[in-house]
Parts: sequence; C-alpha cells; structure tokens
Amino acid sequence: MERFSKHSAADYVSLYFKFVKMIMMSRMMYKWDTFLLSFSVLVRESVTVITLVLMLNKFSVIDGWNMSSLLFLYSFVFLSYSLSILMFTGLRDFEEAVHQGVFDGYLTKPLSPLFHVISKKSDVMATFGHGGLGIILFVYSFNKIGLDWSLKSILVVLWMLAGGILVQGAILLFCAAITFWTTKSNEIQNILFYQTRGFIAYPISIYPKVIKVILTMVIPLAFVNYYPASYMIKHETVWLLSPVVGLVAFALSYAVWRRGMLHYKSTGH
Amino acid sequence: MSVISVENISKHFLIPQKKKGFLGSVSSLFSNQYETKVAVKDISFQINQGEMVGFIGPNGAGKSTTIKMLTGILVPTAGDVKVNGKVPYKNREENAANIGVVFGQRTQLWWDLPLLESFELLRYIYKIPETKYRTNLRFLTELLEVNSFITTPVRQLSLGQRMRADLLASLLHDPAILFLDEPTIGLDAIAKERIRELLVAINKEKNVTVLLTTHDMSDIEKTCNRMIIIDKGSKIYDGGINEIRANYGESRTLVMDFGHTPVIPQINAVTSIECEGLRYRIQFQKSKISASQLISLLSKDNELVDLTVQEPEIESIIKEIYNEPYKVSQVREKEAVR
Repeated sequence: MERFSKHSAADYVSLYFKFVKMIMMSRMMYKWDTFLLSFSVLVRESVTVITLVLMLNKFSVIDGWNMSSLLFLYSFVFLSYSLSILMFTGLRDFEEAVHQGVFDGYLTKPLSPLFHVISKKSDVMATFGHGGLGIILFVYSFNKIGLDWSLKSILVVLWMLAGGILVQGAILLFCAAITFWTTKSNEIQNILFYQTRGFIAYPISIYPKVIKVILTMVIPLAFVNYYPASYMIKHETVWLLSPVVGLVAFALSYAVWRRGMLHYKSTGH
Repeated sequence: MSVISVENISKHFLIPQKKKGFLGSVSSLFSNQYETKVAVKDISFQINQGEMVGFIGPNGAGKSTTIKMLTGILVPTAGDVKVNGKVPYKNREENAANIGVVFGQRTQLWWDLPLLESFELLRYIYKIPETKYRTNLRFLTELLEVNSFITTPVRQLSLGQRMRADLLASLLHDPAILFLDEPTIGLDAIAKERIRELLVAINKEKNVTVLLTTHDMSDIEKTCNRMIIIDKGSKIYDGGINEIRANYGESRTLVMDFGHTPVIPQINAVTSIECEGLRYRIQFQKSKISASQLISLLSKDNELVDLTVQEPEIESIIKEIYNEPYKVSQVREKEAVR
C-alpha cells in the first residue's frame, strides 16, 4: 500500500481552480437560468438602493456624508459581498451540506474538509448581481466625488476589498462552525451576518457607541466599507487595518471550526 | 492479516432534552440537560484482507454509525478502531486515501456534468498517477459497463447506472477497503442483482476488502460469506451466513391466492395461518415439510390463482436469535473452531 502524502499548498491552489472550473461548467448547463437569476438579484438589490436614495434625499447630508459619498460607501458593501459569496457560498450553505449528509462525503476524501466545503460551491448569480450593481455604484460615485483614477487608488481599493472579503468570510465561517454543535445555524447566520449587514448601509458614526464598538470589534463589518471609504474620502488611516482585521477574524473563526469538528455528529445513524 | 480491527467501540450522542410546549422549548434553550442516546454499544470485530462482510440490522441499529467511525467521519466515544493499522479520525486524510466509500442514498458525482469530469477531478483529489489512472479507468469502465454513458450528465442517469458510476468513482485510486452504505437501496430487482454480481467481481479481481451495510438479507446472501448482525447498537451475531441459515430462518411463509374459499387440511408443520379475503399467508417449518409438498397438498382440492414463498426477513431472524439465544452460542463455538 502506497503512503499518501498530503496535498501541498500548490496542490490546493491548482485543485481550487479545477473545482471552480467544474462549478462554472455546471452553471453553463443552465445559461438562461444563470443570466435571469443574476439579473433578478441585480434588480432586487437595486430596489434597496433606490429606496435608500429616495429616503436620504430628504436629508442631503448625513453626519458629513453627502449622497455620492454615501453611495460610494454602499458600493463597497456590494463589491465585497459579491466576491465573498463567489468564494464562500459553501460556508453560507453549510447547514444544508450537513443535513443532507454531503459533508460526510467530504470527510471521506483526502482533502482538508474546510477546503472542500469552500471550493465545492459558488453562488455565481449573486456574484454577478451584487457585483454588477457594485461596479455601477462604485464608478458613478467615484467620479462624482472626484476621486483620482490612479494606480495607487486602484491598489488601495483592491487591498480593502480583500479585507472586506476576509471579514465576511470569517463571519460565515464562524456561523458554519456553530453547526457542529447545534446542527442548525441558519438563524444565527441570519442575525450575525445578514441582519447586521443592514447597519453598514449607513456611516456607522450615526449609531450609538455600543453599536459602533460591536461593528468594529465583535462583528467587524465596519471594515467592509466604513473604514475603507473614510480613508478614500476623508483620509482617515484606519483603512490599513482592514485585511489585518480580516485575517485575525478568519483565524479565530478557524479555531472555532477546528474545535467544532470534534463535535461533528453527522445525521442519521 | 486483519485490515480492520475494532475493539470495544461505543458511540454516544448527546441530545438536548426538549420540553413540551412553547415555554418548554424556551427553557430548554437555557438548560444544559442532555439525554444520552447510545447508537453503538461495545462492538468488536476483526476483518481480514480480501473478506466480504455484510452488516445487517434493522433501521437505526447502528450500522451506519459503525461505518462512519471506520471511515473517519465520526469519533468513537470509547474503544479503538484501526483501519490499515491507523486510527481513522486521527489520520483522516491518510485513511481516506486508502479506502473507497459509497453511500447508496447520495452521490459523490457532479450532478450536472458528464460523468467523466467527476472521474478526472478525483484523479487530482487522490493524486493518482496518470498511467495508473488510465489503466484503472479502462479496466473499471469495462467491468462496470459504464462506457455507454460516460459522457452523459449524471442527472440523466438511471439509479442503477448512477450506482455503478459511484462504484467506479470509489475504486479509481485502488483502495484496499471498500465501504458501502446501503448500496442497493431503491434499486429494482435486476439492478440490485447486477450490483451484487459486480461487488463479487471487484472483490475477486482486485482483492479489495468489502464491507457493506444493508437491511436486505439477499444482498448478503449473494455477496458475503460472513455477516455481522447489529441490533440496538450491539453485535448479536458474527459468523458464517450458512450457519445462520441452518440455525435460524427455519420458518417460511407461503402466500397463496385462491379462486374461492379453500379447504385447508390439518398439517403439523404449519405454524400459523392468516387470511385477508382470498389471500392466505401460511407459515410453515421448512425442515418438516418442503414448499412443493405443501403447495401440492393445498392445491389438490382448491383452485389456486397465484403463490409466492417468502424468505424470513432480518427482523424475524433477529427475533428468533433473541428468543433462543442458546443457538447463537452454538454458532459462535463453531466459529471459534473454524
């Protein structure tokens, strides 16, 4: 019997792209469905943006943020969610994978289970829908504010998006890890992730201190858009922290995941 | 050489206690009261290289839980498991590389893609060298007759075809042991038969150790020479299949449909008769009278429309083992001598 040597980091990278290729090929089997669903996500999200704009028109400026800078703030929510969901759909849908026994299958493969969970799924439609809207908002507000299209500002945006992706991935990973103990986690995910995300549609400076602290230290969604946008517009330098906060949050969630694995109960006996 | 060694393993699940009603469910959120459910209780066995062993037991007996501990999915609460000399949950990836696992109820193949794509990906997941992959793929597609649908998307396959494809997927990396959880579930009689034949062929050709769970007695009769019966988490029988046939499963049921109300003579070997309308279920002891004798006796004066002879089901064999435990000890002694 041959000894199996575990996959190296390079193996994982190339495997990741093989998985992505399979996902894209699967999606292409339903071209129209993919297109229409992406479009409907775009419309759905646009409605929330339009509602927000209509509401904010009454105020014209909120806590020093005018309409275009508010839209700029919001564009980061869409852009970074689009990329997070491209990568972490498997974490979002982890409860389902446990319930249907799919995760059992992952555990019988010579791969890291977390890698398998992450690389097996991707919500391409949400990526296109949120991403499309994000790009429109970003380009519009970027020009409106009069920011400079330099290499530096593009790199800064990418750097901060990376932070936003990690922060959101970390929250989804934490919720997924909870599944090991509770077998159900969709409600927890809904509260910790989707409901909390509602706060960052506005600059967090408008909230009471408790909420500001929570959004910075506990569920650090403020690093998805508020701090990055503050840097771009107001040159506050907290933005540098974004990916660092993301990495730390991800590492903490991963520790919870590792502990949870020992409690895995599977389903059916 | 034993490739699987299981010593006194148990698996307990902690189930949060739920109280009735709304207030009850709220209060159970904050309480730490758990109920322990024992899924597997102190099971031990050894399995040798090349053996074909069937795990049988009613639903919820602990078959799947046992398999899940052997494949590294679950961590045993107590006891030792070694597969190929390694502890599965501690060396999960290494263990996974040397075993093949098929769950009858779900597929590991990519639902929307041509079958071949799934196989190609597995080549990288298991790090199968190119030449070995080609040889195995050629050999297995021929053996399992998968060639005709290898470019068909998995969602378009019949359940029997999908099962063969899943079998192929689990064998590409030349595993030493093949675990199958309910491999024939949901298949029609012909497809079931086919899978059974293929399992025997794989075992013979590749000398793969096969461990399968089922609640269909004939799966085991057609494939395995050893069976382990599990009920309520405990092992209640481990031995040859012929011994259990000889000692248990003594009663058969003859189901007969008559054209009119029959006259049934007094027969000693018949233990019970039930009837619903013109359908009669006649239980008899096969050592005292053969089915054909009984049929000719009953059809002599009656108009017979249809008949089937039913084999004893696993549940009734288990019941017999419980009722007459001395027979088990006899069987076990025989095992020890062998």
